Amino acid sequence: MLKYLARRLSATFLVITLVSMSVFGIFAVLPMDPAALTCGKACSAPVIEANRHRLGLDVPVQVQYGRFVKGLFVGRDFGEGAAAFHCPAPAFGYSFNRHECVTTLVAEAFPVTLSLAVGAFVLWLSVGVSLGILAARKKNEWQDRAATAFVLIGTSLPTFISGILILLFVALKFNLINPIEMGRWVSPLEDPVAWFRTFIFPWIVLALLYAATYTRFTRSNVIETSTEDYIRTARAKGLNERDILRKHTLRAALAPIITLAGLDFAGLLGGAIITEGIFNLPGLGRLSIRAVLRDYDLPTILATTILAAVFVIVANLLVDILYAYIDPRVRVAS
Amino acid sequence: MSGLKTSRRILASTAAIALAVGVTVASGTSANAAEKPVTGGTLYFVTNAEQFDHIDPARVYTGRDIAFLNSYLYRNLVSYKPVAGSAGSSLVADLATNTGVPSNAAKTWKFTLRAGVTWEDGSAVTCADVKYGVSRPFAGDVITDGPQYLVQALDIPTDKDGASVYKGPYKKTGQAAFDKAVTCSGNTITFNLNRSFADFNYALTYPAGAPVKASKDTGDKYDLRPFSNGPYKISSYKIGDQLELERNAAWKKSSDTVRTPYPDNIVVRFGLAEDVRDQIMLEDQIPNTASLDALQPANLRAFFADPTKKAQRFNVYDPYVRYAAMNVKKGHMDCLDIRKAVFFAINTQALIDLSGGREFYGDPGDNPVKPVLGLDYAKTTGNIHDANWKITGNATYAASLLEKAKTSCPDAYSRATAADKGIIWDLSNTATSQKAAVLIGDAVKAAGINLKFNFIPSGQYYSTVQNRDKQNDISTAGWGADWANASTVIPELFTKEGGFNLSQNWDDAAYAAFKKKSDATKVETNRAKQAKGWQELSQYVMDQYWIIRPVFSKGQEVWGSKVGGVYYWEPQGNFGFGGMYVKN
Amino acid sequence: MTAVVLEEESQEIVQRTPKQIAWGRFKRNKVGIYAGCATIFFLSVSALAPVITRLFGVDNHSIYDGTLNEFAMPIGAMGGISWAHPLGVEPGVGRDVFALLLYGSQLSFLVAIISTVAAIGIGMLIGIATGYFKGKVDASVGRFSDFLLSFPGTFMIIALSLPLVQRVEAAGIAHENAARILVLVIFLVFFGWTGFYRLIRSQTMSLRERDFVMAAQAMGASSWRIIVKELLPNLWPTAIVFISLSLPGYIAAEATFSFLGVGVQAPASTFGLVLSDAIAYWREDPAYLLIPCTILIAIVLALNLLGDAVRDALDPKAGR
Repeated sequence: MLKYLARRLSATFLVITLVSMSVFGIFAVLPMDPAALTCGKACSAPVIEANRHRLGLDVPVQVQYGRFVKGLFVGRDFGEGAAAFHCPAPAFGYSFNRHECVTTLVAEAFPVTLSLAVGAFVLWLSVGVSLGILAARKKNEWQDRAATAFVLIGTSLPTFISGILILLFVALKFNLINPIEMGRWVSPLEDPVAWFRTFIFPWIVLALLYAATYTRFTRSNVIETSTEDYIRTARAKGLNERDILRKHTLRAALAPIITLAGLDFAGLLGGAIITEGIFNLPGLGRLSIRAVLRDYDLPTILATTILAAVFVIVANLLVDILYAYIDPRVRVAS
Repeated sequence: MSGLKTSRRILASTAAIALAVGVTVASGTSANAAEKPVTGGTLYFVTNAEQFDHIDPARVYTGRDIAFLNSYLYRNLVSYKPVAGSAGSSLVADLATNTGVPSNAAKTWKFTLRAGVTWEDGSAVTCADVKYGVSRPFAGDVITDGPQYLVQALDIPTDKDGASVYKGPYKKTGQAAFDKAVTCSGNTITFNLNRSFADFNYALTYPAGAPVKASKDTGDKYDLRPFSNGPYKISSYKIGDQLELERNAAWKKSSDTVRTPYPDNIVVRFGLAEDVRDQIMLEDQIPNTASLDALQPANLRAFFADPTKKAQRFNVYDPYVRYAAMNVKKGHMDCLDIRKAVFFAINTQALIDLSGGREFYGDPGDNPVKPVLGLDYAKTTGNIHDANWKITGNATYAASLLEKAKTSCPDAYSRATAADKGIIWDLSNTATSQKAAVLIGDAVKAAGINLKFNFIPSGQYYSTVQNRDKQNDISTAGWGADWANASTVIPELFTKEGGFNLSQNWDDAAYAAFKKKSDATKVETNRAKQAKGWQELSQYVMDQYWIIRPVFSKGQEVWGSKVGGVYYWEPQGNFGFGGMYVKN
Repeated sequence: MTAVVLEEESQEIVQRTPKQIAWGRFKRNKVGIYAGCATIFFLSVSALAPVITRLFGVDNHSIYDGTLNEFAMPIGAMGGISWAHPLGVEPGVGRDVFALLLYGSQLSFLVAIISTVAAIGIGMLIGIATGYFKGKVDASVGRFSDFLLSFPGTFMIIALSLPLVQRVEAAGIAHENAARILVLVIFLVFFGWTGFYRLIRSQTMSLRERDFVMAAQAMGASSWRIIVKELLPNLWPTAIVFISLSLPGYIAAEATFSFLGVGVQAPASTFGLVLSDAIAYWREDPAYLLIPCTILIAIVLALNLLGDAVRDALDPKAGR
């Protein structure tokens, strides 16, 4: 197991390095020029050059990457003379548009996205799995049909539509949110009620989409598992249905669901662009979109893109390790 | 909001109806003489913007930001009088004891500082602080986006590229030259200029001339937490979230004849979705709130149609002229007849209706200078006064102009009509401009012109079109005077040295004569003669069609039922923030 | 399934090809039939947009005078719905919403169909190749698809589409909306082929261990022949199921991206563009928001239902 762990860890490290390098490469070859885009009124060629130097874009991309990696471990200095300052490690760079170290911006946005992801995750998993089990057990009865209808509505509603409809025609229309506080970050430790109110509608929007998928997936998994031989055996032994479901069917049927859920959750951690946008949530999704569309804030764009990828890669690793732990064959095979 | 905050007066590119507000026709103000201002409470502001463009005094350049910050956080040598009406455009001594003493043909200006003014830590505001503040805009690599009047006007040598040899207080390169241009003697600061500058004190209403305490300067980060010498100080500021102000205990009323701080706390909530902001205002959900933005057009109309909200709104001519700049560089709109054809084809009525109609958006204009500027505006001839101009567009006449272009400039004609080429119009990518594009495209097509649109993300709009290589044939823009003199309009928009020249007209045959007259008018010290010069130059610009379809735009502000003391502060084109209070 | 049905099936099974069996199953699924009809309706209506709009006497570029009041809002109830303009008129401009949506659905279907076909074609090709030949190429393609999956696709599309459109235009490959559609499709395919590739790869791997493939190999059939004659016929049901389940996803994706400002722009129109515009008018003209919402949901729903029915018919074990 240790050997397997070491191998997977080093592979993951390699992938993360590759991802960060390619993100750097992709954004470096683009015909966007942040130095010209953020240049002020007296925007002559020397000013653009000075600006390029200030942004650290006056050196080849591999040197930029080297500085980036070094900054992650030892921090980075920006500016010159009396205007110099330091971003402590792990430094993702400095946003000249928001006058903050990117690490600070990310650290401020992350709890928002985490809250959004965790709440939605709990909601969709509980609704999706229980609806799926219900539908499987009451196959072809009205419960099953209702679940099917729910699945169809959920998968047919793009998030931007459900988000807008819920915001405009429910939350705003019936004054269910305190408008001036809408989307403001409140720590659940300080004010759990306000936190809940901030996130409940975004949770519903996200959960609607995911729960539908999970209902469908759970239902077919449970049905499939319950036709397996060992379940038939258990039934023949005279165990009651509830015990069979709890002890045998679910255990087998839910394992792949947990895998899927892990990856979906990790994907959300990178930022839910549309939901955060519609509900004003200052999370990673909004941070990255703002960085692209408003001021082309390259350090922020790079940091959020790389982080989002890292979340997925790490989740993959965790899922794999979990599987290897459960099923020793995996360790040998890979 | 624009990502490039180059001018206080460049119109924000995102807003259908922008942040600012205008003049004289104020249709309502709550500054009721009988009402007595109340001290205390919390005054809220809401906005869709993620942040103030800047709050570092050397970098602030938009009217709303200047009005807000100057009312609450920091003091200039001179300020505009915080009153309603045209009296608001007069200067009052603020940190200084007078509004400046010019000498040497207005090439030398002296100001004497008031005694007893302190920073928020209780230390005195000194002449050295003012001098240090003035030095910061020279550090162009750190202090971006601010006004350049001081950098251009102070008598400091320039290198061969035209850049000042002084590189600001961080690098200190060329410090000696700066020390000669700005001198302190006791409480008196002297500015030595490189030209006659009769209204230099108006340039000092910009906070770029405000004092900064050197030991508190944090370079780029000063934009998050400037050190206050006004009646309030920042208790917290987070971009995309909110700015909170609390009273500055070190500020004394006795040292400040300008400010009247009523509320105990001031909170600006940033980044609210437009629907949410509009809902707050329409339903008066938080009565002690004012909106920093105009509402969305449909909601704005609803607000103005509500008789119970009469005392919670005004609708005025703002300081801006919105227009379409013709890039007359060779290979672009270098043909006068084509420029005219586009202008005469456009359905002006539909475009104005789209953005709120004449009541809320504005009137078709005939001049790059707004009538608000008084002296410098005169009705022009031609353009909208031409007998062939119709407010709903005149496709027939436009087609005849195009026909003329076939012989007068065949190259431009083929570019404008060929299916695979066509004229390209730059627009910032908003829902409103997408629709404006449909209206414009439809109208010019009827005249036989092939027009295409280039939609640029709104945050990058001005920085893109100001890039001479990236600007296309026509660019939508907006501009307002920096103070009541067209010297801050005509040369800025139409000379090569100007900060906002989207016409790229310096190779145009008509440019040399224009430039000569503009330079002469700029240094003319007889104000009446100068005004005549600007009027003639405006006519010249309109005759050349360097810009088309100017709109003298209007602006609206709305506030909640518990906000009192609101008036329109004309020179800043915005709320007179200093007078606002929270009613009991 | 009832006993009667089972009996029928077992009686006829001797004379029926798998295709006929699937079709027979599909025909019995009423919801599937309705959804299929609805899909055909939507598809043909949008394909015939020029004809249908002419029948209604409207088009998608005319600005109709007299339909807007002085505030540029539609005159009349429900966003100006009338005989002349069955779904109302666009506030601010005065174009016909029915025509806009009809032509908009054309673009949506175009993007969705091209993306689906391209993603499936690429996934099929690479999936069969790697699944059949295995080896080093298989390993590195697998790594690459893992690598792709770790990128935040939506964000990358938003961040990269503008500069890429500029590149495409500068290279003269396509211009304006054609360039925007091209870039969007390329992105959708680039981030979308991996799912199908994995499915095909694993199916190919299991098929190549099956007796009939082994037999063909033993008889000395070329790899090409085995792939074309033995593997492909067994993979097409998977492909059809995947197509029918992917289409609604791509329709929704296209709407989402054009809502976010990626993809076509005025004067063209799509569901996403209309909806992003309609938000500003929701208080005064809710019909302008709700009508496109409803139609878009109906299209996606019909496609989803059809997809379910197709899957049930071709692969009855998967869903039920």
